Amino acid sequence: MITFLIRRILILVPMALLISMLIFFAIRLSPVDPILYMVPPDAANDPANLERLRESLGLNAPLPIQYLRWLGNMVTGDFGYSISSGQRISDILALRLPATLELVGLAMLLSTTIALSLGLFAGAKPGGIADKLARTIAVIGIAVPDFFFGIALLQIFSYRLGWLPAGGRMLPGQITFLDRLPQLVLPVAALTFGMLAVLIRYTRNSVLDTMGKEFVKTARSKGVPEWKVLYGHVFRNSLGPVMVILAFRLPLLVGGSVLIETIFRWPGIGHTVVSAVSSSDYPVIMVTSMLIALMILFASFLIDVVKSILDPRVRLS
Amino acid sequence: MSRLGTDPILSIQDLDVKFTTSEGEVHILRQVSLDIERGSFLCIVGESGCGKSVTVHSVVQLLPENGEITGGRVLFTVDGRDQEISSMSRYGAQIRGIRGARIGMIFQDTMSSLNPAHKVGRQVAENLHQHRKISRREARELVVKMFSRLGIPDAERRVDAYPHEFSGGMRQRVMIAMAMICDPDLLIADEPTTALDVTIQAQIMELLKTLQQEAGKTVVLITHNMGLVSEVADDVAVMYLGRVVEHGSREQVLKNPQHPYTQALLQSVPFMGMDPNVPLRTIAGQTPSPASVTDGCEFAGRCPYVQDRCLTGKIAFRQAADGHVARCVLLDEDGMSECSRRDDARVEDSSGQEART
Repeated sequence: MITFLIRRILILVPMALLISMLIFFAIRLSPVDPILYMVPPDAANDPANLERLRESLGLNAPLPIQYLRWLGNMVTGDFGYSISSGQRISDILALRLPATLELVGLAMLLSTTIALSLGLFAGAKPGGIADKLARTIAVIGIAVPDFFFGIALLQIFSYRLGWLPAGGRMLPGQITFLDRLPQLVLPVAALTFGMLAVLIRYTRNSVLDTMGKEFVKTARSKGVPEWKVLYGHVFRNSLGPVMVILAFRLPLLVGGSVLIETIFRWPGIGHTVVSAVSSSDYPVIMVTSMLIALMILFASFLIDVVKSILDPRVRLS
Repeated sequence: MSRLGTDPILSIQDLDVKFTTSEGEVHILRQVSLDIERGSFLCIVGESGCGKSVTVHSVVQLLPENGEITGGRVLFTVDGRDQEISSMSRYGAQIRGIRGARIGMIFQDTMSSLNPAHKVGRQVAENLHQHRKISRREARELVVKMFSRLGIPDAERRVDAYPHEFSGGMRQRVMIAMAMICDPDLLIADEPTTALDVTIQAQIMELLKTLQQEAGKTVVLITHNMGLVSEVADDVAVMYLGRVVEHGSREQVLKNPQHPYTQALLQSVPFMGMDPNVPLRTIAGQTPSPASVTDGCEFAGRCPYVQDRCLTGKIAFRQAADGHVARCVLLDEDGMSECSRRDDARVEDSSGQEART
């Protein structure tokens, strides 16, 4: 088991390097010269000034050297500066990441709990109440985009009923998590709903599939009660495909959800990414894409680990 | 009338089972009657789809969701007490107290019948924990003991292995251990050796036979391997299209088959020393769909001795000899069927017939 883990971790390193190369060189292929965004237009009129700036920023060095410098800085935690705002990228992340983690993390936790329990009961008794509920939620969830659902929530609970605030993350004087809870409810609900549909379907179908397996009959032939059959034999064996969906949602934790963040004026990372792209803020784009890519790598690593825990047959290969 | 038994552990009486399918209701079992003698080794034979498996699954209320017992009853008798299994609810406490504890089940495909995610020791012990107040350590000791008794080498270590780490034969022993661990009165094995090679098959059969003879278990074995039947069975029941067509002792059924289907079935089995130039007999025609036969004898369409009276009404069991019954109108009151008399003539001209049984 330990050698299995070490091997999987070792594979991650070259893959991360490869991705960093891709990100670095792909951005350099872009015809837009970032230097033009940095300097005031009058200074840009003088090519000698620009040349001096390039030299001092190291932009004239051969590309591989530039890449190695960038990589070195990234590894030591120096993410550089945003071109458009001049802020340190690490400061931006420190400001924005917690907001996104809070929103997406909560939504993932909620949607997973609901989807797994509802999916389990739906799959255990197809055609039953839980199944009907699950199918209704799944169809609506897939058909209705989450931004629409978000707007609807805002309309009803904020503007019409006035129960909950319309957006933002923190108001002056709100210090603890509980203070901020009212602002969280609507965006988390909207995001949860969007995540629920696919997960419920997967869980339901996976459980239904496992229910038909022979070992379920074996468990019943031992006189094991149904709830124990479900919990002890069916659930664990149904989790595999569900885990894959879950793990590949992890990148949302660092990528954020642009639409939901926009609707609810949530100061998350999704916002940052979009504005960086529209203003060609290359350092920010590179760092955030790198973060998302690393999260995807981590997710696939996690899938392997979880699968090997769930299914002992995987540990061999 | 079914075969008369003196002390049946399980009595299946006129059992009807229907399945709901996309094409409507299909009558899978029709008036299946079987008395299973305590301590005996019964083989249920018949072709695929004849209802062998459905019969034993209804005995423990383990039919698939779309299957339902619609008539008749199943009586299970232990410690002098009759329990009507057929009236118990599928997942209720009553039947669960019998499943695993009083009736052990052994299934065909051991790879899929064992939970791939749990260690085998845990899966066997689950049965113990279900039916007895017992500590983990005690349960483990019992499992190890059972493993060694059933010939699983290195039992102490192997209880901590996963199903995929076993060979097919060893997995079947694990299944048997699971069925045996609570010391049940009745063991039901649903084609336990179909997926195994011949030598392993013989070992598993020997094991089941030993359990019957030495531990006094009643064993019901479902198989379509006639060779196995002649080696291990005390009694044989032949099923065709959802009905028991013949039931008797091994000698009676194999040496003196009364139902035309049993005769045809036995003639289609190849045997050592048969003339390779004579084509193997087959049964004419196709097995009809269970839905198409509603009246009369289910074998009438393929039977060489078919008569008008076979085509309508309910065909009852007729006694051929003491403890030997067949569901065929050709059986006379004197216990000798016209068809078997006619068949004697047929047997004589195909040499080597005797060697088969």
